[in-house]
Amino acid sequence: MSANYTAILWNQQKKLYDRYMWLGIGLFMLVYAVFQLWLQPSITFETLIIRATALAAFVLLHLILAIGPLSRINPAFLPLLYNRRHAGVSMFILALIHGAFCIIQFHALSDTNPLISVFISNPKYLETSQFPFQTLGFLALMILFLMAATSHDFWLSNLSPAIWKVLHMGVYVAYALIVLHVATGAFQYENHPFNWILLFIGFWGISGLHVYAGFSERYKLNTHKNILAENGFYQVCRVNEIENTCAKTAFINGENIAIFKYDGKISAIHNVCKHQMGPLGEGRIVDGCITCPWHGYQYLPHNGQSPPPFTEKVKTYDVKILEGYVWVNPVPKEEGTFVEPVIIEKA
Amino acid sequence: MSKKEFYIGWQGKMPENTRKFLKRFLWIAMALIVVMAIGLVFFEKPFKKHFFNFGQLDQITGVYYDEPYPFILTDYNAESGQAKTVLLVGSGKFGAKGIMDKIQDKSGALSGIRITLEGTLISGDGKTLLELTNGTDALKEMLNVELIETPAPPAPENVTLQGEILDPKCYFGVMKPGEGKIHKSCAIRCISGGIPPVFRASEGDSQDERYRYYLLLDQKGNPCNKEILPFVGEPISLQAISTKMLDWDVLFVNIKDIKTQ
Amino acid sequence: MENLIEITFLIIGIYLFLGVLFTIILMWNGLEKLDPQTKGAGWFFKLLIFPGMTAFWVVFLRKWLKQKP
Repeated sequence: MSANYTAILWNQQKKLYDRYMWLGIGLFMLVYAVFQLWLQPSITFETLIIRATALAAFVLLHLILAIGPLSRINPAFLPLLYNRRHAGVSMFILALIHGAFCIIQFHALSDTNPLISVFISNPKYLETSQFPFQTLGFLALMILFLMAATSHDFWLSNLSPAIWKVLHMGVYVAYALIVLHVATGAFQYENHPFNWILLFIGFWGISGLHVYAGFSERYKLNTHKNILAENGFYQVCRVNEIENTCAKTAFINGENIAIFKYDGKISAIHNVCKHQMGPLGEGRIVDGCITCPWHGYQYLPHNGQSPPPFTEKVKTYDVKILEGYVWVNPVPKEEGTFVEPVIIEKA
Repeated sequence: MSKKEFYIGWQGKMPENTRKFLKRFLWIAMALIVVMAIGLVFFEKPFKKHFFNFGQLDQITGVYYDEPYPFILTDYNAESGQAKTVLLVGSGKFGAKGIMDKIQDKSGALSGIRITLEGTLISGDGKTLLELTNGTDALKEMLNVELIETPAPPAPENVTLQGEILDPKCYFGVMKPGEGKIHKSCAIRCISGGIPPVFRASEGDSQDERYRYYLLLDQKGNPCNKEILPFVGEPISLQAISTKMLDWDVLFVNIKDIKTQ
Repeated sequence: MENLIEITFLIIGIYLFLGVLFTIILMWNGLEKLDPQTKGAGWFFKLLIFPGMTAFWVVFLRKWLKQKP
């Protein structure tokens, strides 16, 4: 990005996204509260808030974690990825309400500082069933805070995309902490099999989706080890194997390359989007630009530069066509370097 | 041109098939959400029918005693010697001792005197407590000195019991649930803050859960709040000497005789 | 144990307090120089990045010091 920052760059899809997300959150909490007040009218207001926000956040976290692998398995899920950060921030807000109410309810107005009480009231760190589960939730909340606080694109450029990505991979650490927080906490008391089955389905569902998506990705990824090489060029595929406006990707000598076919031409650029490392090779050429499938960032195929006013640049590669085959030179050019597209001659 | 649809977030409209696909997904997700929300409530443990009269101040008149924990005796029946004990607790996670000490600094010793206290009622399973919500303003009236003759306590006996140490303020009404793992830290803070520890022993079977409550004191009959903190809020078994103090069962326990399970 | 936790919270508290001070100063003056894209950004944008800045203020301090030779 380079046009100046706005708080939230609203557009039609984001509004729709948030509307349905909060509809879901609202529906969950409303149904939960109504049934709670109906079946257990003696519940206190604090307990209702604590439980409703905790469960809503935990369910939402599962959805957030499922979006990544789901959209790798089926691109029709990609719209869920588009505004995932709003889902993340919403989840953090729910978790924060839960945490704040818990600290006030269980630790405040006592002979010890509430924050310190979270860590010392129950000191049985070496036991499983009596483990001080609050500490796990607290640490998870801190991770979620760092992620929510840095969700704006401002942070992507100021922390650098690599550090930002690592920081936001923290969601998996947070998830693990929260699963343990629930298992050693609430579910030690609310120990009905229904709850435990849900937790197992959630955990193994998320794990399974990731493993499955990883394997299918691996299958798709062309690792070119035993292919023909000549003068630094490597044979990738036949020209007509690439669909028009689409790409074939190749992983050669550690370089992740996307080779696009458009307007009777071929160009190759780095396969990784500058924004959030999205797979450009799964994108399309739209209005003459390579368009990232994740958030719609765009690059010109012949020089890897984002059209003005944007300033992102990716590496480019030399390509050639020999007897109907596409060959690419995996030695990258400087980011944003112009490379003459190769014209496909009609056979 | 590829026939597969390509979604771009900043475009106004979503491709048609993607839209249909997500609409179906949304319906399924919403249905799952509803089922989960209902299930999570349905399989919840029922809350105890204990009662905290939040926001409502009541006045209770009875004869005050300091030891072992501040309490007042109400409904005294001279013939049978029966009376009802109302345990006093402070606001937040504190016992009533601090407040009663301050009150007595001004009023003089109150032990054995019939007084009226104002606070918030907590009651459940036959036990009553009064939270001195307004601190030292709780004392509303000092009446006469009154001698209460209580029946001699039954002979002490050795008992081995299984159960959980609770803080009675939360358990008998303020919190739902006020027991078990979720509430463990809170119970530790409450007992650490001077609220009298109560031992709940299970009676009856799992179908018909009935409980018997004991006030927990050390072997000399003194408070042992700090010493028992490591055993609060989890299943324990203990050996102790059991007796009665009016309508409360009491245990005199040696900390060494408490075992976690 | 208790002391360790207390000291940890104290250190985090001091760090965040300095972060708040630094963030206020930076937002007042100098943010646009550090990141020209923040030019003209409104108060809501500043509010959104405020919490993160109190946590990651050292990153900006380093950039600031490098920039001011």
